[in-house]
Amino acid sequence: MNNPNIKSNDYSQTLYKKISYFLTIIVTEVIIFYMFINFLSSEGIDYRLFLFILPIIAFFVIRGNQKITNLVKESYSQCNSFSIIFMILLLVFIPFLFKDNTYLLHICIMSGLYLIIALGLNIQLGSTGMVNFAFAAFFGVGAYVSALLTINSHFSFWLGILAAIIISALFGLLIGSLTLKSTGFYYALVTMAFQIIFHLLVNNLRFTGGSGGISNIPFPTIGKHSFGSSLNIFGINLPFQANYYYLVLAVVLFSLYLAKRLYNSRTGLVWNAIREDEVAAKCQGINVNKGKLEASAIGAIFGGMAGSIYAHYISFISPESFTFHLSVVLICIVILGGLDNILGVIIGAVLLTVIPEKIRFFAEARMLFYGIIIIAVLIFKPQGLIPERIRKYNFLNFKKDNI
Amino acid sequence: MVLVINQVITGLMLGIMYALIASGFSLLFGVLNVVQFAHADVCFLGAFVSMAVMTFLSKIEFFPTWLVIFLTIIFAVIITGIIGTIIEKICVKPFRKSPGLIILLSTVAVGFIIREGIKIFYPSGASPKFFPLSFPQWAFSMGGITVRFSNIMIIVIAGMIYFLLSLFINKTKIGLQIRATSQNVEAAQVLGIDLDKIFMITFFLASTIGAVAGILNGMYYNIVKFDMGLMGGIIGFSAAVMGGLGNIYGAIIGGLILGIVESFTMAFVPGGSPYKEIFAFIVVVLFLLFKPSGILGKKVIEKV
Repeated sequence: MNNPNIKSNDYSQTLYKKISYFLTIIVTEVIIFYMFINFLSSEGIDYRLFLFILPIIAFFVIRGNQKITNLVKESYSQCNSFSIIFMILLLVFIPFLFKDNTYLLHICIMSGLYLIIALGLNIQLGSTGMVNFAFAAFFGVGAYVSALLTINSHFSFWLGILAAIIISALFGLLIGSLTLKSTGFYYALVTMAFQIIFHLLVNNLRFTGGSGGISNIPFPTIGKHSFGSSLNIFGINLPFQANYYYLVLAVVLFSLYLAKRLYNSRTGLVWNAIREDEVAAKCQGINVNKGKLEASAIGAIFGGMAGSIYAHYISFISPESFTFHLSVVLICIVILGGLDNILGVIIGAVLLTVIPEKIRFFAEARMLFYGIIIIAVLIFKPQGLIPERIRKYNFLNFKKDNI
Repeated sequence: MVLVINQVITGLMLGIMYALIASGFSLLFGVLNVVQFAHADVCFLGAFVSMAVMTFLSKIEFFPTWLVIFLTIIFAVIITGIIGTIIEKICVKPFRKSPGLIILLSTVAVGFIIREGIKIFYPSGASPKFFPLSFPQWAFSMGGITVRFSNIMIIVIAGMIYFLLSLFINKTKIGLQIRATSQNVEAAQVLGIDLDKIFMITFFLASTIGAVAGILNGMYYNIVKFDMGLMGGIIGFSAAVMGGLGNIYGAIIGGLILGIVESFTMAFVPGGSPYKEIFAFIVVVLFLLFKPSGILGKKVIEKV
C-alpha cells in the first residue's frame, strides 16, 4: 500500500488522514471543553447539567462503534503535540469566558492547585507504593515558608516559591530518610504522625502566627504589574484572579511535563520496581534507598510549589487549612483518578474539587462524601476511573508509515 | 518525688485507656491481618451509643438507676459490637484477598464516615457533649500521693477485661479457633474452621472491648466529642505499633509508655500541654527507627 512508486496518491492519502486526525482532535477537545464549562457553570439542576450529561451518554453509545473509536485513538496517538497545544489554547480562554464570575475562576484555580499536589502524591502513592498521609504538611510547609519569607522583608514571591521548593524538598527528605526501613502500615503511621506534629507545631508556635495564622501576604509582582490588580489584555478587563489562573496554568503544565518525563525515565521505572517487589529490585542492583529518597523529595516539591502559590493567592493562611482531612482528600483524589496515571489524576482532581462546590447544600457532609467515595471506588473500581497503563517499550523507533 | 509518683499514677491510667484501644488494633491485626483504622472511632461511637441508650432507658419510669446504668453498658457494648461486624461485612470482606493497604484506606474512610455521621445525625453533634455517667469523686491521699477512685476503678476494670479476654482465647473452643487462625490462616481453613465466622467474632470482640474503652474514656473526662476518634485512633495505632502489632501484651506496654510520656510532658515540660502529643509521637518515631517491628513484635526479615 505504501509503495514509493505511487507517490501522488500516497501523498493525498496521508494528507487526508492527517486532516481527519486534526479535525477529530479539534472536535473532541471542543466537546470536552464545552462539557467542562457547562459542568462548572451549572447551578443546581438546569440545562447546563443536561448539556454536560448528554455527551457522556453519547460517549457510551458511540463506544461500541469500532471505526470511530479507532479513529479517535489513532488521532490522539499520532498528533499528540497538536492535541496538547490545542487544549492549552482552549484553557487560555477560560478567564475570558468567566470574566464576570470570579467564583468559577476560583474553582478552576483551586482545582489546579490540588492537581499539582495530587501529582506529587501520585509519585509516592501511585508509582512507588508509599501511602503518605503527610501531603497536607508538605502543602503547609510550602505555604508557610513562602509567607514568612515575604511578609516582613522585601523578598518577592519568586524567591518565596524557590525557597518553598527547597525547604519542602528537605522536609520530604527528612521524612523519607526516617522511614527507609518501615514498610506498609508502619510508613503510613509515621506519615500520619508527621502530619499531626506539623499541624500541632504550626498551631502553637508564636513564630508561625499561632492559630490565627499569617495574614496580609503580599501579592506577586512582575515588573510593575501586581497580581492583585486586574489584568488588561487586548482591551478586555479581566478580574485579578485571571493573573493567578495563568500562573497556576503555567505551573500545572510544568508539573504535568515533569511528572510525565519522570514516569518515562529510568527513575520512574525504579519507582515502579520498588512498588512491585522491593527485594527483587534490590537483587537487580537498583538502589532502593536512593529511589525512595528521590520519590519523597520530588513528591514534596510539588506540594511546596502549590503551597506557596496558595499562600499568595488567598493572602491569608491558618493551620486549619492543613489538616489530616486534606491529606485524606488528596489520597481520595489519587485513588479515584487512578493510581500512577496522570490523566486519571487530572480527572480526579477536577471532579473532586468541582463536585463538592456544586452540592453546596450538602456542605456539612463533605468529609462523609469523600469517605463514601473512597469506599465505593475501592469496592467497584479498585484501579480507579482510568486504570493504570501498561508500559510500552519502543525498542526500535518505528512508525507505521515508513518501511 | 511525690509529684513524679502522682504523674506516674495518672500516666498509668491514661496508658491503660490507650492500651484498651490499642489491644483492639493488635487483636485485629494479629488474628486477621487487618488494620482497622476506624477502631477508635468505633470505641467513641460506643460512648455516643451509650448516651443514646441511656436517654432512651431513663424514659422508662420503673427502672431504678443502677439497673439503667447496668443495662446501658450492656446494650451499648452489644450494639457497638454489632456495628463492628457490619463494618467488617461492608468494608473488609470484599478486600480479603487484596493487599493490606487497601483495607487501611477503606477503614480510614469508614472512620470519616462514622465521625461525620455522628456530627450530622446526632442532635447538635458538632459540640462536645456531657457524658452522664461518671465516677464517684472519692480520693485518698497518703503523704501527698493522691489516688483517686477513678484511677483505681479504671485499672481494675481494664484488668478484668484482659482477664476475661485471655480466658476466652485460651480456654474456649472458639478461642482455640481464633488462635489457630492467627497462626496460619490457610491451615485453619483446611482444618474446617469457618473463616467468615472467625472474622465476625473477632470484630465483635474487638469492638466490644473498644466500646468499654470509649465508655471509660467518657466517664473519666466527662465530655465526648465526635472528633476524639481521630486523635484516639492515631495514638492507639501508634501504641499498638510501638508494642508490636499482633501482640496484645505489646499493645498494653505501648499504651502504658505513651500514657506515661504524655502525663510527664504535661507536668514537667513548661508550657508543654499542647505539645504532649508531639512528644508521644516523637517517642513512637524513635522507637520505629530503631526497632521497626515494635517492642514485642515478630522480626520480619525478607530474605530470598
